[in-house]
Amino acid sequence: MRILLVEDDVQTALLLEEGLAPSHRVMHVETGAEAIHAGHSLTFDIAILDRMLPDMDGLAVLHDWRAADIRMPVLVLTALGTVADRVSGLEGGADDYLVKPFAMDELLARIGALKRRSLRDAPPTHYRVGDISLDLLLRRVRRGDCDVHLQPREFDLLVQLMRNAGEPVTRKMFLATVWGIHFDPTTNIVDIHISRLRSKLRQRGSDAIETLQGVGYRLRRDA
Amino acid sequence: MPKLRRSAAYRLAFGYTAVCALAVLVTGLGVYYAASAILWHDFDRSITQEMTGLEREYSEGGVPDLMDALARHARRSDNGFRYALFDRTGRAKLRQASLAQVEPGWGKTRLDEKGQPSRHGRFLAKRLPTGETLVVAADAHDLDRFRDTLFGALTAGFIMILGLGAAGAILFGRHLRKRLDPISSTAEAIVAGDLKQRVSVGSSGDEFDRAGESLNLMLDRIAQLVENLRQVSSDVAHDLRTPLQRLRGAVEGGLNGAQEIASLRTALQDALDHSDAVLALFDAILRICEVESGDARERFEAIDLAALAADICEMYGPAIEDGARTLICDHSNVVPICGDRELLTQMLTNLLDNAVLHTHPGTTVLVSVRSSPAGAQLVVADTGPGVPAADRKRIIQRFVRLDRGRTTNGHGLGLNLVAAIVSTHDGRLAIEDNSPGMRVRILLPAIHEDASSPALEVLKPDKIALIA
Repeated sequence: MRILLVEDDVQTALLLEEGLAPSHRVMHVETGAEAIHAGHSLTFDIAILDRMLPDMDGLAVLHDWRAADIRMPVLVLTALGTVADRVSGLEGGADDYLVKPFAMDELLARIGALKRRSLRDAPPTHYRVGDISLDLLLRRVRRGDCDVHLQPREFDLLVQLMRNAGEPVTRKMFLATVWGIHFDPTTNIVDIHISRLRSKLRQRGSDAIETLQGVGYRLRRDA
Repeated sequence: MPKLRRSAAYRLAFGYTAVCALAVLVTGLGVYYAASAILWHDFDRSITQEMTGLEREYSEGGVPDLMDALARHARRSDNGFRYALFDRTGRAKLRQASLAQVEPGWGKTRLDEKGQPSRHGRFLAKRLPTGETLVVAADAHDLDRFRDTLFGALTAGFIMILGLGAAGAILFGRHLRKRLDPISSTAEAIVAGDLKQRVSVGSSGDEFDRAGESLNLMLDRIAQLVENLRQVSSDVAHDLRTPLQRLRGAVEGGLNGAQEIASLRTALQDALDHSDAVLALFDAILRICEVESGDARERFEAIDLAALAADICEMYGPAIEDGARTLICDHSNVVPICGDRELLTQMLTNLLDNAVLHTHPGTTVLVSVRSSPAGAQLVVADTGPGVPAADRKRIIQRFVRLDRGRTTNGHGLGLNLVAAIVSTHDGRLAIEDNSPGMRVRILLPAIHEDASSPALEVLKPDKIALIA
């Protein structure tokens, strides 16, 4: 993937480049003006945008891009972490909002999910991974020839896993997409719901969900 | 004087006085000149009428009739006119009050009469067809006196206005200063560092008292925020040390311990966990500050507290059941309140986290949402060990943890955040004895049924069905 990284702190930028380099091509700029220019003149698959840039708010960059119909997915990566900040970021056209400090795995999982989401024109209503099929309209899950009866949240978790089949989905992503919350409850909600989902899927076949220690979960493509 | 000029109160009062005085001056001059003009006009007209009467006598009977008429008129007791008649050569045929031969037309003269001081008069002179000059004059003394009196009265009035105005200005200015000085001296004291100072407020309830009250309320709020800030700083200073010490310990242990990859990895993992703990603590502190700042109120919307509680019970149900505890979620149909969904969610998750964290397996956890006359009532109760009565007030304070060893997870901010969220929603929080166990009772202001807000419409069950 070609990634535009807009980050004025050199050390953070180096860490990010290091983390992204194995699988992506990164272009790093330090100011809002450079970011606007790069966005207009080159094509990227995704942009990672800091908010507190030396010359302007990252949201102004985003606004410029969106006004110029530059539609690449934008992940805002910032130290501004209040609810109001996040709301203004998402309303300003960001596709995802991640607050510093962050785990590299979290960032990688999120840009992966963003990229996959942007590739689809319209969100599909059916998913099929291995022998698991999921119908969003009927809210029905089948494995092989048998129905799998899931609770509503278990169903939502599976949707996230299937959308990102073969790729990690982090706990924070589950919390945000399934429950709409952006903080970490002390109780490990995600793990317990996933464990129920996992055992229900297992009744009809092999273990389809892999645990990624310290990161989250992944649905095996060959499930 | 420069001090006076710098005082807005004096400037205002003096300026107002000056404007008033100017208005009085203009009005006075107007009255004076208008009155004079009317009086003089009447005066001149009476002379003209007298002249016309005499001319009629002359035209009827010539100079002899005129002389008769003059003698007759002069004899009248109420006659205020003086006459003179000069023949063609300028010799006086009749001459009263030492009137002199003049050119025809209007003029001023002095009227000298025997035994009386000379007086100011006005005359009209006419040349008769036969060459004589007839002069009719009148005594303008009364007019002059009236004019002088009017002028005097107006001048006195003007001076009085100036004097009263100046005195009023000084009194008004002094009053303003007296009322405003406490405010500025309070402000100065606060600038100097004494945040406890308050403006003294009188009992009259006038503008100054109201301004003083508002200022005091503002100062109270500022003092509260400053106190919060101060406490957060000192809390951070104290309570970040422990997790930072653990982090440092992990790094140091890794550096000094066995230099094998496995143990180094363990040390790094420990360090990462500890740094995550520091960050979580930090997040919690920032979150509390954010909530206490009250910014969230801008995002308040109509929310069904019962539905929210049901969602969260569904979220926590499996975790609570897996821990061999029972969760009972009891709620009525729709309990509409005005609030921030994310904060209310966090409030409930914090309470349930606590109920899981601080109770033993076998405990029953109850979440109940009810509409009560006092508002929306949310209860989270457990049958766990409970909290000693002495600690119930204390546990909602920042960083207060009842297990002194601090072995269980958590940073002692959970209930404090709950309290902050309740308070930003104008609610009330009570920690009670559930005998056994602990009961948290939260009362939030309900949206009244009669409020026909469109936001509330969304909460009605049939609408929910439509949206779903």
